[in-house]
Amino acid sequence: MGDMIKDGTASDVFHQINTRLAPNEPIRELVAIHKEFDMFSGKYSLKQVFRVLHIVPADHSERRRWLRYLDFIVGYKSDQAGVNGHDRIVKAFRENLESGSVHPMFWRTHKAEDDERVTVTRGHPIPHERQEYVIISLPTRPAGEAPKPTLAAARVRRAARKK
Amino acid sequence: MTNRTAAARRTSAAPSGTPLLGGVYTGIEAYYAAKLARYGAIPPGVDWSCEATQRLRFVQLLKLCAFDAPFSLNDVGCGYGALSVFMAERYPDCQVDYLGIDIAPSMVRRARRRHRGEPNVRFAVGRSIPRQADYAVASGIMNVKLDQPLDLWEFFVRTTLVDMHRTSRLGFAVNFMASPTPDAPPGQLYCPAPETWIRFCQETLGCSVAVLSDYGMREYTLHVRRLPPD
Repeated sequence: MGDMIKDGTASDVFHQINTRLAPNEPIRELVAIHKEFDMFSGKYSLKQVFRVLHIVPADHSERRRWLRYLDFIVGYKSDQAGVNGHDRIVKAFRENLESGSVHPMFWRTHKAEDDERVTVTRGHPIPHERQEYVIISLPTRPAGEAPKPTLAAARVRRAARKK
Repeated sequence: MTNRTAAARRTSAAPSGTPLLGGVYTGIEAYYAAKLARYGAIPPGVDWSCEATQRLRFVQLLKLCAFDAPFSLNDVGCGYGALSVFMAERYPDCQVDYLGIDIAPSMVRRARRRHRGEPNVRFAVGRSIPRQADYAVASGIMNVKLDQPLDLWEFFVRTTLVDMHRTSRLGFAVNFMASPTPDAPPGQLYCPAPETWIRFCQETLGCSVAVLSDYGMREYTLHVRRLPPD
């Protein structure tokens, strides 16, 4: 994430996501949306879902990078064997929103050097709340610390686009 | 003439162009024109949070209509015409003669540009509904009261409902907020108890009313149908 979108953008969109997935009315609204439109059935990518939920950076110049990042998560591993990071997130949404007891959800990041996978757990990410959440955590590295091949590949892609 | 009909006529005796409502309409037009100018022809441009919730509202409103046969529809406060796009996607086989009406000329300009070349989709600028249709719907137009006094805003709501009733052969659907959003400035949103307008539609307009409220949002939708003649 560090190299793909600005730190401020990450804070902005994570705040928006966590507001829309918060306990009570927000998560109930998402249940209704999913029930009506099959939002997390697997036929829509996270990029499409976040577009229709209008969870995009306030900074217009960052929108394309954020949406590209959502596609990029396909390349991440997840805590389920054979399931990539993107599909793991979609599955976590689907399972939670279709369950008999829906939990609020919370997005956060963790250091990729500790765990390279997208993880989905249950817990209490907000210490003063007793409410249990489904926690989606994305691996990230500070800007400039992405593995060299990734940075090099990005440079090649940028050069190719300029031609 | 029954008492009910007489009451309805008395209410409709104040036409939507009445000077009393002039400031209300001007305020609404300025508010939504500013939203459109800021966000463009996307849901925040008509003051909705996102396309998903906008469409979830459309689903509730359109449950009024029978899609197994062609019909005509007036969309009051149509904005940039998102409902027409939604219907075409969700009910591609049903022929709908659609007229979108909006107070804001800039909204109607955007809508016409988006729907150029679609013969069954038309738009009009106006404060009242210019034609008869099978149904009318209005999504969110009663919610943002701004600084208008409550009694004046309720006069606007009443006038709009009477106009929708007057121009709908079968019925109309409209949504209201049940409680304000936490981020809304105090007093700016109109969140009436359902009974207020259910009673008005039943007693004054002489219609049957169904309420939809369990669809995950802090609002409810009224389906108001004309009763068959005795």
